[in-house]
Amino acid sequence: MTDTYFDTFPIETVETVPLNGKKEKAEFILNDAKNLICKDFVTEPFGDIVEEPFRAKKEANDFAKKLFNNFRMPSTYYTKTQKWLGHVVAINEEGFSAVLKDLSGGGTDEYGEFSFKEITEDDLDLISLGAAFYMSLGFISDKGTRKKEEEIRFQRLADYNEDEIINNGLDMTSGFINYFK
Amino acid sequence: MNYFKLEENVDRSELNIIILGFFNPVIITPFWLSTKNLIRETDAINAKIRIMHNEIVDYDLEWATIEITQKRFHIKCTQEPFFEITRDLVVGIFSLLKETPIDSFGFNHTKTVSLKTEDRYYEIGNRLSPFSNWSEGLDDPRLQRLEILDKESKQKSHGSILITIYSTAANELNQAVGININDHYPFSEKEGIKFSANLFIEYWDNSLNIANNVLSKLSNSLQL
Repeated sequence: MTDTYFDTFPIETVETVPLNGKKEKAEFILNDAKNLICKDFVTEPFGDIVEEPFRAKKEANDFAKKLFNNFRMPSTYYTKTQKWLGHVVAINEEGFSAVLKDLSGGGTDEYGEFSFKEITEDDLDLISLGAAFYMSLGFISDKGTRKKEEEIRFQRLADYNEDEIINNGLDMTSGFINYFK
Repeated sequence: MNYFKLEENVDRSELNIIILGFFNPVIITPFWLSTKNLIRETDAINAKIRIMHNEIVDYDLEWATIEITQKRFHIKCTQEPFFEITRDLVVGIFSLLKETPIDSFGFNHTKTVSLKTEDRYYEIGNRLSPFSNWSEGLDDPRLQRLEILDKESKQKSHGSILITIYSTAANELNQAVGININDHYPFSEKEGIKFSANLFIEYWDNSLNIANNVLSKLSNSLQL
């Protein structure tokens, strides 16, 4: 582990165009708005990590710069978003009622009624008394066009079952082996 | 006081959660996430996979990008309505893989603030790092990038806060600055820790407050 305060600073990753027929992937530290430092340059097969070869670094940097605008600033983004955390308090044949806590401005709790038709099919099974969901209302900007967007998603928490014992075992083994590498 | 409030002029936000430790990347596939009910089935079906390998996985969900190597877990979300969902996904993953040793983690809150006018854009740089200090050597100084490290912050249990303020002019967003708040939590280098959902959520809540406070206190200090 490196002892640096930048450990958890985002490192941007760009997959480059094939060079010499090889698929390549570069990791960059964002130095400033115009300069990207190439940290690692990984070629397939994995494990072949080239330590900043000049040619690859230059080409990767050039490629990253071309991508940079789209890469850092996605063409689709949300703005002026209002968010609530809802909890289901009653369910009937048509839909459900919920108490909504304002996550954006800390306003007072509100009460809302929702039809099942507003909920995507994937989330219908999650509706139960006490279930939590997130609701947001804001503007989505897509390539310069701005429109209102509402999103409702039920909270998904981990389920434990027998498979977890196997997965946890695999994960433990993997972590143990890596720890002593 | 009637001054420009950075926190009220955030044009877009980005969240990055980065965890350092020892991971088995290939476990955490979109299909696995869906099977464990951590994401919708349609999220898994629509996932765009770039790389799926024992040593690295890298894919996009429609609302987040996930990249995992054996030592680094990184999830990035550029869609503000999904920040809590992104946090829940991290909690879900590591609640299931609870034996994963973790060395450190960090929340990165990036806010792009529209300053509206060229004068205000110039002035934010001038007040953060007075250009008069540079007048003998430079003809037309401008803010490009500034980093301030709070090595042992008293706003949280332990760890540092790194604030980066940078120009977004290269992204064709003139008269705007990016403000990144890196809220970093290191743990024992020798032992690391096991993931604790309660601890993570507690730190998350505090981290949101820290990020919001940075903007409001900076507004107050700069008086733009």
